[in-house]
Amino acid sequence: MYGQWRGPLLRYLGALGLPGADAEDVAQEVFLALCHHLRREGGRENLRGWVFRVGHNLALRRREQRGRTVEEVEVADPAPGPEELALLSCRRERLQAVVAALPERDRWCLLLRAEGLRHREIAEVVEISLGAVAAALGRAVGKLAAVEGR
Amino acid sequence: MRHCTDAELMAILDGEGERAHFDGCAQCRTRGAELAGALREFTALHRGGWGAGWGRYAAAAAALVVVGGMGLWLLRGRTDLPDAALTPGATRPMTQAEVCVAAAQDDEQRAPREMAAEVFARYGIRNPAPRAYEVDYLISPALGGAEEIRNLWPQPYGGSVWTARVKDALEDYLRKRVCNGRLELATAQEEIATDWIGAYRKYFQTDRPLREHAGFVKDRPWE
Repeated sequence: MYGQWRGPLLRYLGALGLPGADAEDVAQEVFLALCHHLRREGGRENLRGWVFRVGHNLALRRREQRGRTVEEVEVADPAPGPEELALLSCRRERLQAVVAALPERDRWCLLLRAEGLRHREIAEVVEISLGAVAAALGRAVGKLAAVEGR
Repeated sequence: MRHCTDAELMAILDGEGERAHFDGCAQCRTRGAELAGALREFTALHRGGWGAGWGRYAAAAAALVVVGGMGLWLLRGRTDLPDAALTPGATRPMTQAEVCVAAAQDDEQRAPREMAAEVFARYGIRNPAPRAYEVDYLISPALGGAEEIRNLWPQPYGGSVWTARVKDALEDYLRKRVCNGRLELATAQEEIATDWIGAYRKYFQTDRPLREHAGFVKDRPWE
């Protein structure tokens, strides 16, 4: 489980705005909690959703403690040089801009979907209804599809 | 007649929701394919780190880069997965039933020569050696993949254990699962487009390709 989910969890935590060291700490905390959960014979259904839910909540708490906002760290490459600007495709940048402008909950749903979570799992992580997940993804993916060039 | 909303289409793509109207409506299926394509593209870029770090590598190696992003794929040193920006995958608006009926003839489909040449050019490959590559449909036509440049990439037969033959074996297996009703078509398309090696590992429960797949032959090499 650790090998399978650590990478996707770290990527998701990074996209939520946690710097690398914080994301590593949170991931470690999540898998430690998972060990305790399994030792206590906690439910084994949808453990992937469990891992992401605990990680999501810990990440938001840590972000609050640090007083950061997602917008401060959301864009993967905040200061590309002129050569990089020339090489990065306009389309990629437009997609990044669309994602950065999404309402936070829509962005969470999109990022979790990109990690392969099903709607039911996303609903558990974000603590919203199945319909609200579909609506959030409909808005988010609809905006991505509208980016010129598709 | 009311068409499906984007939210309803996303639910259908996830294997939930009411599909009676969707299956019979070409307009909704087209929109569904657009949304699935946009999601696939985003997923590939997200999992690939949005190219963060790539820009710096590219700047250092700028002299080797021919135009724009092409050539980066070769410099990356891993050619068993396509460049997500160049080849995010593209699908046709087909239902599961249509895909399964059409599969036999689609297996024979080969990328047109001009399009294959464009694929090599986009990937910065000059004078490709005959029979060294397969100009591969990332999402195979037998799984509803489209004949578009965004769905094609030059997959080498060598250089890695994750060869074109191994991917062909995965495509064959996924199509069987889709047509047996054991796998949603949209899920199969998404998995193979975003990380076909990860999908192989998942479905065959192995870290390395199975011996019998190393010589699996379905598609013909580029000559």
